[in-house]
Amino acid sequence: MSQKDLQKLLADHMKLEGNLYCADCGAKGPKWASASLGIYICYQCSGDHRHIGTQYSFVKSPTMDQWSQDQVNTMLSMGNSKANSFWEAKLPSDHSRPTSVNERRQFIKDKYVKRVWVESSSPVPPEYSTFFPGRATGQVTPKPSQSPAPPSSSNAASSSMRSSPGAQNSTSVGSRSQVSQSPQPRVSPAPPKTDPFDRMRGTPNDNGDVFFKDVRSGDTFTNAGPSFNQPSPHPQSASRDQSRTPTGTPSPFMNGTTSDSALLELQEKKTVNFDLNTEIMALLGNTQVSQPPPPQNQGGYYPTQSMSPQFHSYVPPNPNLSHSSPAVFASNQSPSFGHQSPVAQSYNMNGFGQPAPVYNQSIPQHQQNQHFSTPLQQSQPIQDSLIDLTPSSNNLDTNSILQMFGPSSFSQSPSPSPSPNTRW
Amino acid sequence: MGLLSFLRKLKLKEKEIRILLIGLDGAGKTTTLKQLKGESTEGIASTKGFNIETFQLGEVKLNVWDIGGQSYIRPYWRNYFEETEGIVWVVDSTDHFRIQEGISELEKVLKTEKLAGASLLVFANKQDIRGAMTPEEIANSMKLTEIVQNRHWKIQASSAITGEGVLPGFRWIVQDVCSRLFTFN
Repeated sequence: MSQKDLQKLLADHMKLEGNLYCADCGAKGPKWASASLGIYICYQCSGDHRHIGTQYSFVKSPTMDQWSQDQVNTMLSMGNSKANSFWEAKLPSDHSRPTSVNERRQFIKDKYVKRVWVESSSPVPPEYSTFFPGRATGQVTPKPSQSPAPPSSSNAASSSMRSSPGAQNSTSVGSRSQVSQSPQPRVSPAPPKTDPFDRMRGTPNDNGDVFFKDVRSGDTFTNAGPSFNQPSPHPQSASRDQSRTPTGTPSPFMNGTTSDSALLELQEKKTVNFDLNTEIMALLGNTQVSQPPPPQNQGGYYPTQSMSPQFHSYVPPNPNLSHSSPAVFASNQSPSFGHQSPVAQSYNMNGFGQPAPVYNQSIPQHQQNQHFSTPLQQSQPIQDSLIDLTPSSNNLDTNSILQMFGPSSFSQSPSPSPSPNTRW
Repeated sequence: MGLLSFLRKLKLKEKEIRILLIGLDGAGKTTTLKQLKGESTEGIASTKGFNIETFQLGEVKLNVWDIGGQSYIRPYWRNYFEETEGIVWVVDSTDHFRIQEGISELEKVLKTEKLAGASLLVFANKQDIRGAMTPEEIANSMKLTEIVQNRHWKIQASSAITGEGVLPGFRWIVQDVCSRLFTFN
């Protein structure tokens, strides 16, 4: 099966009800996946998944990475609902989803590394056999009463879980045999005391098992700030539960309030914008001369090198910019180009990623020289000297055009005339 | 003053080298960079686009460009090859299955003409995890001696999380690049 087919399978699988929300934090519309765990997670959680290591969770992008048939099979046969019914089997139903950064980090460590909420007696799904060597494998039955959803919606949630394999069967999947086993019998508990996993939890393992050795425990786990080992229920969890079903379809994984999820969605969109910008910049390479500069001098822009035109042409976008509001840009503007305020405003509205293709040619020669021939001071913010080079064509109004070509020929201009000492 | 000596003097003034930090996705490039910077290495999500860090190592100013390794954005690596003096290739030592993928990607990079003289440092990352391949194993399985043709290279065991081996690796590549670039000092 080609990569496109595999990615199509994943894309379809992500649209199923159980996979609409991040398996860990409950954010809407997860865009990343853990190939070894078979779950879909959001971008923020993917960072923590990568941190706990590939031996616990191997993060991939369903759209941007190469997938093997086996990995796709794992994804299709697990999914968020089924995976969580295993990893969160003992999670109290009133446990709130992690919201802060530290909380989420600790939650993911507890869930997948320390395996706090795994039922030690339950059988391990065959997909997880590498995580639990020596444990009996079998299908896990979702336990609605212990899912994080409120009790009122648990029935519907569990029925959606049961119905999801049916939906999967409509797609042509190689691993259908695993998927269609879903009406499993509830498995009787096995004797837990002889379980090797219990011995290994928290203590060094003498079997030589790689997977259970928490090699990074020491500093990295204890440094994570305040302990969230036993997080108290969130004070707002009750109201959270009420507002959990904005679309009317109850799901155990809808935990954020609507405003939270809207915010996340917004961030997600911004990130996507930045992605596109990066690609555009990469495609443009070194040839474009009039890239808009980043408004803040962070990271990759070096004022000392601004003498060379090449570095002017190659201004990397700053990832932080995509999260900062336009108001930040506005407040950073230097008053020295106050007479060009329409141009500066158009820069704000434009964003940083769009190249401004024509303006550079229309700029007067002396003005160009003024900016490209003198080296900038180290402490001088970049946008002070370059802000006037970055208008966008769609935002040019008559005022800014007038100021570009001088007010003399347009004496009827309603705009304030520039001060006499400017050369415009 | 001849042109050559003038150019030399220009170079002398600013010892600045540009280093490219690349590798497959999830190898630990950004974590390595953060560790070098002394920042927190927790919760680093996959790099969308790139990060650039500048810092001083001895007399030399380092510009390290850390570029995302998702297979989708690997074709854009070549946009960053200009004026690059050193390549740092990060390998996930625990990832036995993608060694072959790494070989073909690294080969593609090293074949580029713009990088003909660049030094190569390979980080055998994630050595803190048990079951990680040793640098020798990686060098053998990647056939590094065949891929790198007459270029200076070194493989260095490292752990970006603990910071072990990161600084020695960068020291080596800086020293190697400087000995090539600034011989007249």
